[in-house]
Amino acid sequence: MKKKHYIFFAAVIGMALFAQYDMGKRLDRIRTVRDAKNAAVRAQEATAKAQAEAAVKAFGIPTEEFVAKFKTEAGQIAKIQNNPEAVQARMQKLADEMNSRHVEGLYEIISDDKSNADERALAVELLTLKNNTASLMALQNFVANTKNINGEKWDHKKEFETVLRAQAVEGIAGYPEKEIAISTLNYLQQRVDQKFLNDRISRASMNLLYNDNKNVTQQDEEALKKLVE
Amino acid sequence: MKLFVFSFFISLNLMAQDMPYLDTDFGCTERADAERYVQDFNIDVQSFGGMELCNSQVDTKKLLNDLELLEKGRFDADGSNKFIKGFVPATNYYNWMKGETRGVERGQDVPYATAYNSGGYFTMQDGWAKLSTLGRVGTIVHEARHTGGYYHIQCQQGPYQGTSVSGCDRDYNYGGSHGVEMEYYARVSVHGKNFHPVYKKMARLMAIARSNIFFNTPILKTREAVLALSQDRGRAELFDNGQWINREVPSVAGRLKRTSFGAVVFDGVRAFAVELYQNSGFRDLVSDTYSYYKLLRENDSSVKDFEEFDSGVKRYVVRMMENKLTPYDFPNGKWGRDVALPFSFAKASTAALGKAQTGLYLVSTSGEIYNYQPQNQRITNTGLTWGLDHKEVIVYKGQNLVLMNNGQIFASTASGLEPWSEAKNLYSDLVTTPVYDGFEVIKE
Repeated sequence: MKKKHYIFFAAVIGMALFAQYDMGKRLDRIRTVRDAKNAAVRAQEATAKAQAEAAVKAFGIPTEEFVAKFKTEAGQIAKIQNNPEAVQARMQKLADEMNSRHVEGLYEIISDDKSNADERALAVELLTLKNNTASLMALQNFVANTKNINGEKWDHKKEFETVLRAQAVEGIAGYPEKEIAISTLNYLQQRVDQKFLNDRISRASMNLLYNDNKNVTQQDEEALKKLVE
Repeated sequence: MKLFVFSFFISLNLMAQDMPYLDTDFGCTERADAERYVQDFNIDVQSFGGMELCNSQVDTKKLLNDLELLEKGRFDADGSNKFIKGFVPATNYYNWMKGETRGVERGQDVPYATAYNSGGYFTMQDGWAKLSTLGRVGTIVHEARHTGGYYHIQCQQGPYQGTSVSGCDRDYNYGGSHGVEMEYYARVSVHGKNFHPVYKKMARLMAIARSNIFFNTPILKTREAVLALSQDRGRAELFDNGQWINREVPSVAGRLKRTSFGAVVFDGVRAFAVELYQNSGFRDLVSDTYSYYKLLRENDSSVKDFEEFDSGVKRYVVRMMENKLTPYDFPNGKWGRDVALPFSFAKASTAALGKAQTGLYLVSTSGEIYNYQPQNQRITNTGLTWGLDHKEVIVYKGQNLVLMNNGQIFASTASGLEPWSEAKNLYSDLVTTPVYDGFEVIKE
């Protein structure tokens, strides 16, 4: 091979290496810019998600979304549930997402004896799980009121009405600040003359006053176990 | 607010993104299952509003949901304990129901009933359709039991006492419709595996609530104990579950009183708590701040006596003065209107010898016993007199116990007063007290 040819091939190889080097550099720059853009987008998304979560925490989920979830969950009461723990977690999440308007809406549902019975039971449960001042007051007023939202006295002979109020008493007893729970039960004791409910209030109070006592749920289950075993 | 609630629940949005289900995906009954239910139970589908597999607003779908819960509901103890007995086998609700049912239809011909069973043909009324899912399932189980010839009798206690409706069962062990319904609720609560947590909670509360309504022998009762004060007033003795336990007692003059929480020593002005559940090692006076004695104003010397008592399905609190009594008005959270006493008041008691029911008995200074009826605020002379040697009278397990002035306890029997066999000492005071760490369970 002549000397000219070596020079030609060397030049071609040199150009190819330069082109490869240049291309690598350009790609690196593109990647850097793209990564920076992606990071910015991710940061924006994270900020938006955090803001959305903070908004849900502060203001709850939009009412329409809450209503849809509430209705769907109430429908689930009539269904077989193969994973009750997941259902419990779902209800807790829904309660966490509630805002004060939702709490007020649920109070109106539980106080209306013409509302769907499963929805009323779920509403008491969500107010129990919410565990804030507004939900505690809703449960307290529901138990204390002698009249329902339609202005009629609630019917003591309908056991479901009594059961709902007993459920609310348990919700109050489970309030995280024990002193507030006790004083709320104390207040209800002076408002409720129905023997069964008064007894539930006293049991719940006693359990809070003497931590070593069995709670009311355990007492119930122990008694029911004796019946069916 | 009404407007808010209206819009709140009208505006449905089925785009609940983070819910792992949607009604349209999960709410529908399989057609094959529905057709099987219709055939197995001879359901008059048209009377329930026509075949409907998805919309729970339609009564057919409600019934299909109920039957699905009965067929597919599972219980922990299924077959794991051969000694577990039941009116209905826990593993076999569906087939048992099928065997007891000749047909199911929807009607409204007996509006005061929730449902009725005529020779195995069930007619579900409007009342059934308005119930919770648990209530509907319980009703179907209840009605099925009637096919086997189990009928109700008149109620001798509870809210339906004195009505002409035959709505009660003798007791739980009779295994009637109320017993079978109760068994279902108790099983769901205690052993239910695949039920919604709200369904389970309602089952527990429904069982407890019904236990004292529909059985002439109530199934679950507040446990009662006898609390007696030693003669030197240095200690209290609690008779609970067949055993005497020593308890500390406040060192203060006064009368032992039953409260909604337990017992107190009431000195006429203030009430001091008696600790029933433990001994603290201290004998400091602890003011009772939880029972109704807190309603008494401090240093109100005009109050001569105070009682909490139950009558029917209600709890009452009454304070007695020289010549009047005042009932507490629970709904309004304040003392109600005074009732004049037509005699000179000496003391109050929640029991009177010869009366097996507790109530409020007022003893005059001349020993006559009057009965206060809180429902109509009447005071009637019972015709009984307070024995001169009687200090206190209580009702324990349906029997009168009398504390004599000499410290002995006597029990009222068919042949008269006899020394109470459980009494071990001489006492200076006697009362019954509720024990709130469990229930008394009575099956028969």
